[in-house]
Amino acid sequence: MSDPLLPPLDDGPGPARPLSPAESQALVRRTLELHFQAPRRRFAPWAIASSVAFFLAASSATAAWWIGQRQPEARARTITPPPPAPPLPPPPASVTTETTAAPAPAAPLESARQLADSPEPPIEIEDSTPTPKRKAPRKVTPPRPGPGPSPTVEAADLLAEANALLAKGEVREAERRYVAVTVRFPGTSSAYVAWVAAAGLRLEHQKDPSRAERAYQQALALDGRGPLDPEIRYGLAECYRALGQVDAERAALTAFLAGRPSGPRRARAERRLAELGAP
Amino acid sequence: MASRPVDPRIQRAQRGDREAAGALLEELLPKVRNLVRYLVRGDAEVDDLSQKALLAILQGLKSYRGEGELVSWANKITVRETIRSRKKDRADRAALSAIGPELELLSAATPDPDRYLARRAAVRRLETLPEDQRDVVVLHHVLGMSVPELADELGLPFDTAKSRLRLGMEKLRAEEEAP
Repeated sequence: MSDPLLPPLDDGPGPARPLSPAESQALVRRTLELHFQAPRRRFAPWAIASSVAFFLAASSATAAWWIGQRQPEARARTITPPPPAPPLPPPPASVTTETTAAPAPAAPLESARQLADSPEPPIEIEDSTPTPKRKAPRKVTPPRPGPGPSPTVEAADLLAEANALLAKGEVREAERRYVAVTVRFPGTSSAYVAWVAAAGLRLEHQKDPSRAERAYQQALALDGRGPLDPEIRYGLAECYRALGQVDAERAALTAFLAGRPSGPRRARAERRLAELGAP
Repeated sequence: MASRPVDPRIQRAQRGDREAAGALLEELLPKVRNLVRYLVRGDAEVDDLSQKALLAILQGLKSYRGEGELVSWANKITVRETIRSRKKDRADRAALSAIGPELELLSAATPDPDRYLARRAAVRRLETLPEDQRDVVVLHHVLGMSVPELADELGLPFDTAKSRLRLGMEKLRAEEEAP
């Protein structure tokens, strides 16, 4: 049965590219997180708000870079001041890391949802420096519970780094940082946000809807009803459109509209759904 | 097929022992990744698909009753999950481009670079096959399944499976002999 052209599967190396022990452990750890903790996970509201703020910062960074690419002459002036960081509910006293799940009270979650679904905030592009240090997201990081950097702060730092890289147009490096967040802080709200951000990069900048779809699915696996749900559903619809998967696109658009989104995407989704017609 | 006593470590993983599950996954991971790589074009998706396969293995672990080796059972789950998750759009995008320069990988692939390179050459040839032929070729030659077994696994009529296997191997040999 064995053929010299096709070596049988055994304990030898290849054909997959080798992984370092650390990478293997990270992959296993992610899988365990998804298996043991993912179902209907709900994150602490303050962690969600913090992470969503980073997502918006990422969106701003993307837009800044995009505008910078298209309108270099605009770099020398301030377009619009950025909005203030959203207020955060204080973290519960017992919470020491953002991986601690807590029931999400309706009001903060709703505000986070609105935040995620609102149009992108205006962007400030600083004079001759297309990569502004984005301090605003740090302001929304909850106080450290003890000495030394907490996982939240470390995750926040990585997300901030990713956003800064994105603002510089270093899309691939930015994506690596987002993925690093998902590896180093699996199962957290930071990982949730990082998956969504990475998906957006893969879809819009790397033109890779297949990998973008996987990243969106990873985010959904972490939280199927999270604050970035509209972003995910709409993104998935775009992925499936690019992949020519009409039924999946229709389902994603329907799920997106079921969340009663506002803004221009709603009209686009309704129009596209009408174009697709009934199943 | 008669059941054999299930390895206590597997039993612990079946009961939800995270540490045991982790150890099991670490043990299965290299083969899962290699099998996924045999089944998909290019390297880009191997880790995403391997993670999906590992997740499916964990989710299905409670159904494992010791009929046959765990690795064989895990291989079947990996094949099903990979084929299910595979997206048609990838087609040629990742195919040959992702093979990339192999030299930089050799140090990491040691201690057996010859075997590693032989397997990379094998998947490079496999990239030339359509997925339906590739699946039967991999299940037959890499996993050692008989034609009736692989036809059953892939939900194919026996004659179809046999025909795909023949066509696939013809193409592989032609590819091998091409200048």
